[in-house]
Amino acid sequence: MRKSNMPDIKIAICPECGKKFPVGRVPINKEKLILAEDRDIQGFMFQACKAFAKSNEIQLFCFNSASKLGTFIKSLATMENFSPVKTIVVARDADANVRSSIQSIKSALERVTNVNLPIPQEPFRFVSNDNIKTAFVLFPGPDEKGEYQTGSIEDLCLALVNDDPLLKSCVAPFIECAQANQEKGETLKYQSKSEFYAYLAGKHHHAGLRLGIAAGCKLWNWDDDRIAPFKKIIQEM
Amino acid sequence: MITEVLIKNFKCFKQLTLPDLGRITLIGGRNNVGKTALLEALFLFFDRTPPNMILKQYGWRGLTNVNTTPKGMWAPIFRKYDLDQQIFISVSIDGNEESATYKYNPNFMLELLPPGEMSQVSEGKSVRTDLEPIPSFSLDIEYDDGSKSKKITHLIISPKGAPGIKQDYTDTGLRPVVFLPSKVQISSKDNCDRFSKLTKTGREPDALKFLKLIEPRLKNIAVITEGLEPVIYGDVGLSEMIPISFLGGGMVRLLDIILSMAWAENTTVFVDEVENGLHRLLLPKIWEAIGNAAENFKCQVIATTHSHECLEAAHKGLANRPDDLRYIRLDRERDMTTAKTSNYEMLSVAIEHGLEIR
Repeated sequence: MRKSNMPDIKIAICPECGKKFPVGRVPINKEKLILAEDRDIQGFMFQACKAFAKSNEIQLFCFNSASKLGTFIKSLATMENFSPVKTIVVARDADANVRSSIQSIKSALERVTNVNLPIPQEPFRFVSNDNIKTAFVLFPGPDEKGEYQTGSIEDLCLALVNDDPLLKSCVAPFIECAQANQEKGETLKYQSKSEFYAYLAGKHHHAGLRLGIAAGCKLWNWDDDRIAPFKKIIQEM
Repeated sequence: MITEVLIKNFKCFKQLTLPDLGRITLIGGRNNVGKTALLEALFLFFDRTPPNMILKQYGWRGLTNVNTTPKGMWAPIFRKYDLDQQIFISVSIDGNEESATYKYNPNFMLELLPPGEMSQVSEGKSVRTDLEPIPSFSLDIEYDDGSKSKKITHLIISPKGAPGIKQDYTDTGLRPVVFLPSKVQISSKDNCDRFSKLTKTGREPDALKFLKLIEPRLKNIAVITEGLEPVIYGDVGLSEMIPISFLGGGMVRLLDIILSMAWAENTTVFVDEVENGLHRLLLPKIWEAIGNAAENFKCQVIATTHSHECLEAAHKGLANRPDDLRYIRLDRERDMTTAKTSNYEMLSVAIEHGLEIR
């Protein structure tokens, strides 16, 4: 990696939360990349990398939309310092259909024609060729039986804070009330998202935070078994 | 339109492949990676008749004199200044592959007799009968356009040191490509010639409408000769027309580009550091104008840039013709130069996500 040639990344400080973040155009400056579907998954994975002492080795990007993943990787592949990249991990929600999400990622990787990427067939497993290894992870991850669950990163985070009495005593009645007060025939489409942000709203220090920021606020134990598959991938990158 | 390029042993390129050029192609990359050299190679490929085809490129680089030796005249275009190598340039134009090979020939026989071996006598000149021919130096250029006969051109340095050219063929299919260097101002005469070509065919309104994109007051343009040189004047509603250069550097640069495109109808304009002299806020409109002119004149534009703003402006200005735009970033890894191509969709994603793709 040609570190001496790296352009400087300017750092700005968020006036609301005080967090530092890069501004301007972002170069590739690590050999291991995590490509996150959205800012919350990016923030969660960044905090996970920190928790597992890997944040110095891994660079995170956000591709914003599952439909743009293939083009995003193609664009990455045109950047300076892509050729030394050794590992790419894609992180996204499983959404309502695990198989569709898996197929979506595989199709996106297959559309990347300007670099030869190995295509993983299953989540949480690396595949490699001579130049690069790839994997993808799906939130909320597998259940106790190892079956991949539908859902999102909020489902995982709710599970991680499941023991907090706030969930049962405040959030559950709120969600019940909210469901009852939706317009006729409608339900909360993203209930776990509503639940998790209601939960954060009920925490003195966390009200108003995005999940990706809250992930750095010690709300859960990073050694939780439910995070283990993600930990394994990060450590094997 | 040029769609694919292969260059070997030209200047810094051991081998460079560009697989996918567009009607508007921007070339980026770090300093000294070969952006200008790429344009020079392509221009040289098409610039086949002037004896100074290589010398003038040195002039664009700011060099005012070179030695009239093979090393001084030709070695700089060879990789590592090595005259023993062969330069090879292959270009796909509208699906047809053409190539040119440049090879140093130290034993080119141009003059049969050495200079200074003839003497004046009362009834004319006398010459010795035992003279052996002496070689001149030549850069042999072999053009292959797919036809049966090869076209050979010799750039020559005679024993007296004079540069010249000898062509073994007559080419009727030359393409009037244009090179706009970054450091050298286009001469007023060249621009006037190009404008006159438009006037002859009644198409000067075409140029005017593109120029109006950045100067809406412009009502008319005309070539006026006052003094030694003709100059292009513009009517912006004042009591008399004024030299177009008084309308600012951006207007001059756009005029250079548009007139070059009109001149290079159906061929290619090469623009080095296209953003030079242009305000960043004007750039999207200028790219829109260039895109429209490219369609109007059926012309291709291949330009280098250092500027991310220029790239973003091209993306914005060419939004209504996304298939026309390509961005190629040159990179050097060890000994090899690589080209990474982005289409409009990839550029959109890169710009949206703030990826550093220069």
